Amino acid sequence: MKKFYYIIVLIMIYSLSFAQTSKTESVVSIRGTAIKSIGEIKEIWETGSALYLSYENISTTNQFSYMFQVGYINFKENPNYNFEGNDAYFNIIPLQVGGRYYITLQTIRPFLLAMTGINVFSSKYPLKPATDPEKEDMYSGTFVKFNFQVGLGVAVKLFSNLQLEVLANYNSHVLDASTHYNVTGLEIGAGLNWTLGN
Amino acid sequence: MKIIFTALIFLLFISQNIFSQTLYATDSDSLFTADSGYIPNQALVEKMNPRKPLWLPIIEGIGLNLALGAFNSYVMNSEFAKISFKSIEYNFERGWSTDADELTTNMFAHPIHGSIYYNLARSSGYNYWTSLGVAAIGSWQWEFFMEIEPPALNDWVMTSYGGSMLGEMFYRFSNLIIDESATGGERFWRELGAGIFNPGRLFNRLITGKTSRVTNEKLYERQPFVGELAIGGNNVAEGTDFKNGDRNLMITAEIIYGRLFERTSYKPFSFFRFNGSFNFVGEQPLIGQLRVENILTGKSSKMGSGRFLYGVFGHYDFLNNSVYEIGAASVGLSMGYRSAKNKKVQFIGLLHGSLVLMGGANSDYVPKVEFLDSARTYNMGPGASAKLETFLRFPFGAISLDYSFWWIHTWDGAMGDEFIGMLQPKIRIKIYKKWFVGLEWLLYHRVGKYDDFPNRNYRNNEQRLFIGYSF
Repeated sequence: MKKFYYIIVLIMIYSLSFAQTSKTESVVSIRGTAIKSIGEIKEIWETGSALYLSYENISTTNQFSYMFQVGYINFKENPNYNFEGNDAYFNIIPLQVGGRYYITLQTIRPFLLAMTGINVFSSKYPLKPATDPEKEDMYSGTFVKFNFQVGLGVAVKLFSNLQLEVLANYNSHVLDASTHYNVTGLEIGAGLNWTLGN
Repeated sequence: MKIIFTALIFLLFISQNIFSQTLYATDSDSLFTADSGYIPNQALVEKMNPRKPLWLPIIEGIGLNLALGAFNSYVMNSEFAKISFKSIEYNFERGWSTDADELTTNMFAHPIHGSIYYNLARSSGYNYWTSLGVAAIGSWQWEFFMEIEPPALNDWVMTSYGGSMLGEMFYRFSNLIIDESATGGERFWRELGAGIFNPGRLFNRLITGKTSRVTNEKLYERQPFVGELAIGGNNVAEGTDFKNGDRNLMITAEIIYGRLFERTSYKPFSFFRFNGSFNFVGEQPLIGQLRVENILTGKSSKMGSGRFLYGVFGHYDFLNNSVYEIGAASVGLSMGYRSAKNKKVQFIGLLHGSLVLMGGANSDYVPKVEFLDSARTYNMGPGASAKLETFLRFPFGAISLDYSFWWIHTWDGAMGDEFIGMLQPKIRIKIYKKWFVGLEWLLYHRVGKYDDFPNRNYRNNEQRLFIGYSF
């Protein structure tokens, strides 16, 4: 967990080191989301919640931004699944890069987003459903895999530096090429954006 | 593929009047001439070719997918194209997977497909990075919506990033061919020639009327290039002796676009190098080798009497013969040095270290992995690569020594790691003006280290003898 805090601090320092220029906006955001698993993963891990911290640099000339994001995702088990114990957990630390396209950069800013990167998975219970016992213990422990997220949302300016945003994402986080499911889910959330340097 | 190959030869012939440069072994080596690249005035470009809204190339890409999907489903009756709302829902639930297509489909055809998405955006006025994004959207839409097979992550990477590499190369080739001051038959052939490379751009030029617009304004960037075309024979041999090989008629092409050491800063593809070899007659696949390396960004400065550069380079590698199947799209850091250009003997060296975003390497054990179908003969995954390029130019010709190395960590296939190297010494001797003869030896080595199978260690070689023409 210490590493996670170091990464957050590093991103904050990195963000603050970027001075505002006339053609770009630097934005630091914090957001919380709720995740609803879809596909086979939901048989075991049905819902989740996440907290993200991101740094974004928006080009006001072409309305694109690039973004760095780190987060922490915690999944809750499906009560119908037999875990044979009460100490199961499934957590993810996503480290992502990506970008947004803002349809307009006015007071109300609708956007499309795409993020990718790596997930550091941590699981104390096999992710495989009991129906596929062949690789029952394949995903216990800590492992790193590819992540992918696309979505849309809208940011609304509350004050000159502060925006509220809501978004909805589709997640397809890879577990393994050989499995017949991944960590797929729908994610909705809200966050606060602080524009630096204004 | 035949179309691409024919188009390549077509380009080589028709473009000689654009930049009369020669390469390596012949009289007027471009390395010794001043930079004569042309970058158009941006205000003029924006006036004559205003940027289209971003949604347009995205919609065009989706339209292309729908048309291709309909063709596959209704004309070809392909099972994978029989999509429904149920198949789309399943793809979203299933998420990213990999597929089991053969190397040529995954590592060559997909980048070609991606180059079309890319150029729909590039020819709408967008730069390399935005066009790469549009290619990624087009490929994503195809993978999740247009096939009943689960979306393949390897396809997405190769179509997007691999597509951007081939796409930008084709864009710059087509820039060399398009001449909007030409009329009549010459204009027709130029538009067609450029369109063979770049159908996405041709489509946009047709719908916006640019194919028939006549203007003396120069609107498209051109950098000097040099190239060579050679014909000869090769012998792909088992082991390291020269006997018992498969002999083929071979045509090779090399194009070096832009002057790597003549600039101080770089934009994507302001320099790239293309290598291709094509086999005929023998048992080897038609496309033996396609390799592109390009600069994405970098700096160059004086170092003593020579020049030094460092930067970020992209690499696309596709090598296919009876012994080796390798495909990789990579990006990484590079540095290079060129000695003083006023000396008779000149040295050029480049060293690259890259991350392989997606790669594939053939393995004896792939068929034993149960979840793969028979079409795939290679392990697939990310990894790393390194390349050393050295080049010595003499008054009588040139000697080059390249070494390429790939490490592919199996993500899908026989679990383990593939380590492949290729040593490639080559000599060219000038015989008359722009004509040269040459010899090349390729020593391949491969070590496969597997979790569940015995390790493998191979060495093979290929010899090439050719006569060539540089332009």
